[in-house]
Amino acid sequence: MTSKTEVLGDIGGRGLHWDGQPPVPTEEQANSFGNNSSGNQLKLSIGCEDDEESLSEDELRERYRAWTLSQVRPAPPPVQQEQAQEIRVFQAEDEEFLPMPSSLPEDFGNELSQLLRDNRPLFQTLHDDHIAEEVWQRKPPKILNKYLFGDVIGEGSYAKVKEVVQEDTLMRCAVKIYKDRRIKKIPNGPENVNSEKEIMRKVNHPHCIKMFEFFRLEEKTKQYMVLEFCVASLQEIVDTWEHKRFTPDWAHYFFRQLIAGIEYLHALSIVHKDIKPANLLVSPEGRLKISDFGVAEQMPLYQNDDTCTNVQGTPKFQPPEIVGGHNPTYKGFAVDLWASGVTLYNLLSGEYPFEGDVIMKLFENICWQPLEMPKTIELEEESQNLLTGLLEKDPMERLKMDQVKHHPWFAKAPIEEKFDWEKFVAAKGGNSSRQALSVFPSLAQLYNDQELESLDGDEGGSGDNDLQNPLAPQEEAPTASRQDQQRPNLVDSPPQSEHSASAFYRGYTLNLKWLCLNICSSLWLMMNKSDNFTYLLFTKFYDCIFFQYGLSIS
Amino acid sequence: MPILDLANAGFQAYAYIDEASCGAVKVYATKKGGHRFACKMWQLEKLADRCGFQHAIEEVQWLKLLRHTNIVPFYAAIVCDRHILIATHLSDMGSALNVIEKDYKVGFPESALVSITKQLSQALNYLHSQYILHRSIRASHVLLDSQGGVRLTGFKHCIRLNEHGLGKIHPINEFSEHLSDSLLWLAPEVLSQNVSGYGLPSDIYSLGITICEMANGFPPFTDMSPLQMLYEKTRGTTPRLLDSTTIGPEGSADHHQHHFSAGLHKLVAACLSIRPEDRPNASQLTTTNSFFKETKRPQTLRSLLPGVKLITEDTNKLTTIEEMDDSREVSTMDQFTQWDF
Repeated sequence: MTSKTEVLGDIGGRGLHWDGQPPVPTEEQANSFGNNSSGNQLKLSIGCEDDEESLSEDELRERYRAWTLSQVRPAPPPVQQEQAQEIRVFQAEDEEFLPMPSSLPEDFGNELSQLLRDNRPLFQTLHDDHIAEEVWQRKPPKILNKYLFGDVIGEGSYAKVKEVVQEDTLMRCAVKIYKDRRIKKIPNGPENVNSEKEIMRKVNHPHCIKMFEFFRLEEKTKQYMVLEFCVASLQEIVDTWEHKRFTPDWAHYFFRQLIAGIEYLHALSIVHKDIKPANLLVSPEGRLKISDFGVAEQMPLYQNDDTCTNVQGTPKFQPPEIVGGHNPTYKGFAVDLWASGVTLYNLLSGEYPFEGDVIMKLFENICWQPLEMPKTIELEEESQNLLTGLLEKDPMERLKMDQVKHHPWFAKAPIEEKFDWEKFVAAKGGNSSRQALSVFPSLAQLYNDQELESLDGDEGGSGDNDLQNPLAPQEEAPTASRQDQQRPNLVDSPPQSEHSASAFYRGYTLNLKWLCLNICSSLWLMMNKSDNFTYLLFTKFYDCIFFQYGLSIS
Repeated sequence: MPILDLANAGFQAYAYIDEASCGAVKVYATKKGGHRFACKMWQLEKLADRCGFQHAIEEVQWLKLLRHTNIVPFYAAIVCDRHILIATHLSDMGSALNVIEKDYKVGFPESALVSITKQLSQALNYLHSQYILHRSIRASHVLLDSQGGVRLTGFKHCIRLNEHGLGKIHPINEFSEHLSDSLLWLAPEVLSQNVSGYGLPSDIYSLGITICEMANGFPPFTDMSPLQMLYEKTRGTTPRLLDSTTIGPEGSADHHQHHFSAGLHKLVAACLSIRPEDRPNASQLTTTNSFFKETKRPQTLRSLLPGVKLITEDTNKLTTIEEMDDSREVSTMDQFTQWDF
């Protein structure tokens, strides 16, 4: 679904029109999309890449709002200062309500459904393939600062995380991308990013995520934090298990590692403040890595205890002394231990010790509700004891780090097996992108072009030719023979067409008609929800195809 | 304060062999009595920023632990005056890479390849039987002795598949930037860094690449950027031996003169199988492969590779070593250390 949004985001931005008049672009639209006269610049991405041009839903909404406003006032092009101000005022007032353009034909839905039902050719003029090729122009592989970019593997409130491969060492890493614009919108954003960076510089421990590099690209106005690659968060993994919980052995295995990591951080006077399964990542070798130091706090050098004042974190994992709001300061280390207690509770049972429908109810429960052991599963005596100690409401009575480490449940020998990803991979459909290098399509694009050319002539032939004829001439480095038959299982092969392995990357074989039909119909279905946003998407797309190419419904 | 002064200790710098991967000079010295040995000298400062002190320690530990006819015998390791000295057995033809670079630019003849491969797989079999993964099999880590011995070295990336030699054997997933100096030799499953990890067969793949390197005179994929190499390896491109049967008319004339037997081709293809489970294991390589049966009686490498000039005969380099010797540095250091407080 997201990819569709991006696709349309790329096209969009030029206003829609129903009454035959060309849309009047606002300045913003004109800036971001160039002029219409530059012709067939229509681009769609196939989703191997999405970069800054891709718009988030919010941005789309915003553009839509701007556009509808411009429709209300058909004066614009040279936007004058006053007018711009006026618009802004209008926006502020109208935050909630997006007006539907009155010019929408009421029976539009019926018309479209009729078209689809009749199975008539939807578009008149589809001359030849060149239109399709333009539509399917792929984005070039992106290499920034020696990192080749792959798929998005995660997204937080601050940043998007993508998989990358370092060009020289071929290290698979994850890069956290901080968009300046986005960070400025978050209260305390820039400061938090900065402190995260500083803390990450210091941290070097097998159970804390490692930062390899931090850089900023002025021309992109983004900051990049290159991190160790991890496969998934504990949250994602535990969700794929039965009843959303680990067996006690595995919960013990991860909890030990979590405590080892927290102990290290506390020794450096760092309070993490946001320990929860979603922030605990697991590396390919099955090692837990504490990550997301966005709200972590480094105690000042000369402060000799762990007193904090700044409250940040996830409510469900916060202890009574924070959510109670009575105390101006609190002990940071005890907070992390409480959170690790909630985490352990969750890993063992799949439930949370304290819940509430609304946040005030949750806070109340955290403060006053006595701890109850999970009902769905009978926990071992010792683990119950540990949980009681960690989820002690009085921070002074709560177990301290060394008490946790000497607790009999903690101290028992960990499970000897290596963490098995099978369950996770199976749950993700067997070909999770987390498994194989997601930069592969980009690599194919970078180095496979020659083969693409040759395939134009005789599709499907060349792969076999090589095999039949081992004497086939080799190019510059005659060291390699291609044996597509032996395509490995260790890379998740991308979907292959029946013709050749590379046809997928070409994308040209897709039929434009089919595509339009599909998108139109799915959008129309969504439209039935009479959501402004999907309506917007539809109209954007409609506009692009019908206006730009001069196509019309037959 | 100890001063690195081997001359006074009764050792004589004899010849300069090579620049080792850790940025330090590799020399060998002879005792006045006549026994020769190779001596790696790593400068601690350089070590610190290049591949790390830890790796040097690990290499020494592995050398101490391992004992096999095809693994380089280890004599001693000393830390002295900003240097780590690692004294090992001297292989008088140098590494296979040295031989390729100096005397066999288009690769070894098949008889030598067979002999080397056989001995290498014995070394691998020894390691693998203990679930030790070498992880950087390459021509520069294969030392050749004129008396016929092939000795494996370069243990700094060695790793055990079962921790401390106990417990179950697990595939490993580790991939660090330190491995990047031998990217060309790494198996696709190592490079793809996915959750399934890699195990003993990845060494067999490296062996296959090493055979190609020794046969062709250069390792496969040399002409590519690492990214392209990654792409080719993961999509299933397998390198092969270059000889008159595998290259077309535009291949280099030198390679046309090569004629490798079908057995050798088969062996390389098997070692370079994309799927790890398709590769032969080390013990299969040493015993059952039909390809080895052709070697009737053992011959010395000296007779198999007659063109090689031995390091011990190469007196030209003697001058180089004297220039490179930091004796001047030592003498200045002497003046300081003679002050006795």
